[in-house]
Amino acid sequence: MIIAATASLATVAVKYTTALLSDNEVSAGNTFAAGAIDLKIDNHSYYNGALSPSTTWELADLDDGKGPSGEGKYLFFNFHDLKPGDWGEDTISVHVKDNDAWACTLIQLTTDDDTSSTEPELSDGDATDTADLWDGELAHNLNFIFWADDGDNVLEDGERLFFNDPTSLDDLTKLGLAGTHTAGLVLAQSNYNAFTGAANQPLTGGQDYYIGKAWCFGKMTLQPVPAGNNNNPTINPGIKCDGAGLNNLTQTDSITGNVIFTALQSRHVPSYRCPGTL
Amino acid sequence: MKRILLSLSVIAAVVAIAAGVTTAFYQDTETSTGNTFAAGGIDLKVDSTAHYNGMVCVCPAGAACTWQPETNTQPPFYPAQGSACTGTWGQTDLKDGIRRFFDYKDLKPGDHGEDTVSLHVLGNDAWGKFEIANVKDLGIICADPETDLGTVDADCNLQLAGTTESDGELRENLIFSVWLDQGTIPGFQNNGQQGIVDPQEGDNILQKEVEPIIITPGTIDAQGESYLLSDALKAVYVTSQCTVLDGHTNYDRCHGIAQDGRMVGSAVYYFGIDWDLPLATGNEIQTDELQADLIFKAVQQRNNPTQQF
Repeated sequence: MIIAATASLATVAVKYTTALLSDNEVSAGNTFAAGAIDLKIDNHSYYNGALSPSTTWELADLDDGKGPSGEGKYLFFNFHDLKPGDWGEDTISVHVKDNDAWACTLIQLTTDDDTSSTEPELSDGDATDTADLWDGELAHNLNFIFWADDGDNVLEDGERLFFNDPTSLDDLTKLGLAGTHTAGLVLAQSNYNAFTGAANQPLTGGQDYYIGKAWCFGKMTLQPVPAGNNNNPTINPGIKCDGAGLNNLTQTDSITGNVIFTALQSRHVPSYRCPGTL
Repeated sequence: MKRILLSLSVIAAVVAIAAGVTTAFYQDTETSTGNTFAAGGIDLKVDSTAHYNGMVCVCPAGAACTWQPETNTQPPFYPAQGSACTGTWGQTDLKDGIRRFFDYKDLKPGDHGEDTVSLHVLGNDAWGKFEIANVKDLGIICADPETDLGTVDADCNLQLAGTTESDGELRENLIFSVWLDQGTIPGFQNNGQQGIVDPQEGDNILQKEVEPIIITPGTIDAQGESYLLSDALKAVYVTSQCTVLDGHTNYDRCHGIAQDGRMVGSAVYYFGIDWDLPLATGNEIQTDELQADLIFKAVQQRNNPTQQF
């Protein structure tokens, strides 16, 4: 007992001899954490009114190798046996994780090729297939419309169109402002938000945005259905597709292309224009 | 128990008698009252005002602290106007883990901020020291854009999104600097303590011509950093052409700026800590996190010429 007491006195003494009057103030755990801009896309795809599993997936990064198409790819279009009058409807949902962002889409054709010359094609007056990758007629006859969808894959009254009339893929990409054979679509840039029409309104982080997209191999007419909860693309997608005016010119033609979505932080970027748009 | 008490009271009575006996001699008494050994105080207090992208963290009396736009700041505001903030407080001791100068969870390239720190050494002249310790440069996870080959992020490239990232890149990209926010009049007049007012003092705006940068812009070392404030204050003594050796000028010009770089007791020193995440920073920083402790030390200056902390 006595020894212990002495020892503790000694430590006190030692402490005093080394200590000068002092004070420390510690601010522990200061943190800087960077946010994220992580774009994810999902797609729900219908081909001639039936769900197309190979072009349908839930929210994903498009480069993760787990897609439903061959080799784990994510393809918006993967249709190898189109006939005049075929149509499809896709609803793409775009989701920017965590933060507000400007967003753009590019549709970039890589070929519009006549892969071989069939007899009916030639007899309808098509030139014989050459090595030219742009000698096909399909892009000219595939018509598209895009709109800001409410998520049900149906074009409804009052849903905002990205452009006014169905337009062929050929015409969409012909201007080439965003690059050769490339169409630029604005989702949100500083002077225009495609979902609301407002300026200075980036996509809100964490919110799903739906892009309705319909295509028709032939003449497309818009017949928006009344807005409602029970609309279903397998019953009525809000568009009509008529292939009657087409002949055999497009046989065995093939289109390939890329669809590119980009998102960019809107903070500190008050003025932004999507590439290839006005 | 009772018996012991009794015997104690007997002894006390005896002593009292003895004392009574001594008073019988001639006597004179000279009294020196109030001899005192009292230890002086070295008490360091710190206050802070946080600024972020042109917003300032304001704490009205009795209300929660919120971000508010500074003069000339135009919308869109980030942080959002009225959202909660924690980087501003009045003169206090820092309690570990409670007061953080920086607690920002959603940095983007182009973000910048500033924190005005004021140090008060109460009572006595002291040496000051500033340390950055426990630096952690965390990667958290590989966000999808970090995995792209075009992103300079070795431990995320070609990994699956969501993989654990061991090494973050925020430390390598966040630029810090510190300046002495002494205003137009050298030294610290402390808002007119003795009638002289220097509106630029502690205003968190770097006046390049008169306010010296005491830690030049750079990233924080992974192993932490340590600075003797005397090195900076000594230099300021020279550059500001101060003449009072011990820095005590009664809140006049050069108050707090001593030739040996000590901190003058009861002067309030303002420092601006500036940080910047350059707009050119890439996706490699996504979801990364930089953590560090900031430590302010004061130790008595008297009898301590070698600055033992």
